[in-house]
Amino acid sequence: MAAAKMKYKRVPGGRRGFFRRASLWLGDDHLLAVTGWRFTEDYKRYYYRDIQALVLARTRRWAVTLPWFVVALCLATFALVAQAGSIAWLPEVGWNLLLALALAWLFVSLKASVRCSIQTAVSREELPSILRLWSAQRALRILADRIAQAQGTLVEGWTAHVREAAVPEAAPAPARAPVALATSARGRVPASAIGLYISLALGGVLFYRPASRFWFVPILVQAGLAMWTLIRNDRVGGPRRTKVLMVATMSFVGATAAAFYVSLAVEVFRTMASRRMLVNVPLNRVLVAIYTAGCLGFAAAGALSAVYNRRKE
Amino acid sequence: MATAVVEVANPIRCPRCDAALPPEAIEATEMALCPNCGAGVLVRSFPAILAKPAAILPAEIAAGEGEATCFFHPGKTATVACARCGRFVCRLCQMDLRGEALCPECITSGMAKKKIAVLENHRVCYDSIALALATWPVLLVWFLTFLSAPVALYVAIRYWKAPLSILGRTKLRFVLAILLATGEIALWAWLAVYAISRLGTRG
Repeated sequence: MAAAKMKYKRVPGGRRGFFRRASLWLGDDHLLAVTGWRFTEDYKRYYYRDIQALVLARTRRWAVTLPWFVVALCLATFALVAQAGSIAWLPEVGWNLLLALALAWLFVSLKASVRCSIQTAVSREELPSILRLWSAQRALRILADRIAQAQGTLVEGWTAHVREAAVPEAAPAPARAPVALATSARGRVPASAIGLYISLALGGVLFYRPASRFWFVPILVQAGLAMWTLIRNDRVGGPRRTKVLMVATMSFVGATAAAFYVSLAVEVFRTMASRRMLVNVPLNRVLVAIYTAGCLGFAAAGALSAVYNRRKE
Repeated sequence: MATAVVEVANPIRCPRCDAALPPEAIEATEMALCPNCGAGVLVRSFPAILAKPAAILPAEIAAGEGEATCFFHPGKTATVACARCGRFVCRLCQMDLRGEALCPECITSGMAKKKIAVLENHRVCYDSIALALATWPVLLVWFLTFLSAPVALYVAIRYWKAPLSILGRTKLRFVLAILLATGEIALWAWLAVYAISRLGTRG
């Protein structure tokens, strides 16, 4: 037993920070949680026969892991190096990719992050290696299979038996106030949605300036607010139409931004304009018209949807 | 049909707000909402949740005449012999470890000497230290390799036999650290010889 080497298999997920790291490993009869600094490892063993439950909860996690940092560093370096070069549009591509990465990180941190806890008879601890939803679901599936092999599975409706046993002793159940709160939250129009509809209504107007260095700012604001509303709607279990509307808004502003970029790039190649001159290149009129119409349409649809949701509540 | 009536001693809680989750959320196959914080929760529960806490055995049973007694508690009946040292121990002293019964002393010495792998809860990865010493200065401040390369070589040789990560690594990091550190030292030696010879030619 002393020197018996156990073979471990990695569980999906894992966290690699600058200094701290965490991972999960499957052993023959236990789950090994490894945490530690760069040069040390701390181990915790959870025997399959002792594990009572695994619980995932969606939450916000602002962790910057090594892959994100490395990609951001590469993009920033690329943009800085390109700044010294002669190709006018190259640095802007680098900075915009960096911005897109930051938005993606924001989205993942808000929308696709989880906390996972493992419960045994004597402890309930968080598994720090499980951070993102996609790896958490895979990890949960693998762990559930392995634990079921060791313990078997619970019969369907087992909680009902527990409740039956607990009823005579338990105090009268409260009136489930939190659930009621969640229901009322569904009907309320969140501030992010109101902000989005206002920015959509104003967005087109702002675009009628001949040229602007910061033409993409309203688009970013709209995409950010739509994303925020989508996340909030998902969390409170809001109506499906809001979800569809937010996804459509994000797709529309994203597609318009891409079209603006392409039109600007074409203009630069056509006129061989320098970067300084590029600031004065006017945005494509047709695209501006499409964008304005789309913005007003989405703002109107959003306002109608909000009114309808409130009436239904 | 009579149903088995059971009681959960340890309620399942939301990892976000620590509130006890309702049965609907516990049994849901898809994500459900935590009634307290509104977060989406997904629960996988297992039969161990229904196990009742083990009853405390009467450890204070005095040994009768002719019965084997515990090595650590001479007044108590021995229930098992330690799988490592063979000492008789009572129920109180008996510690089950992966199907084997051990006495407290074997557990303590096994932990101290790191001879029981399943009790080990901390390791230092000397192979990673050696490799970092051999590589990081090259990438960050190259002239520090003058100092870091010999240190990397020392760490790799000194801790060659030290246990590596429990996850079953090979000695590849040590080998790479030795090769890199040797190369860096050789480069510095060549540079020193070159500088001296240049100085000698000028003189």
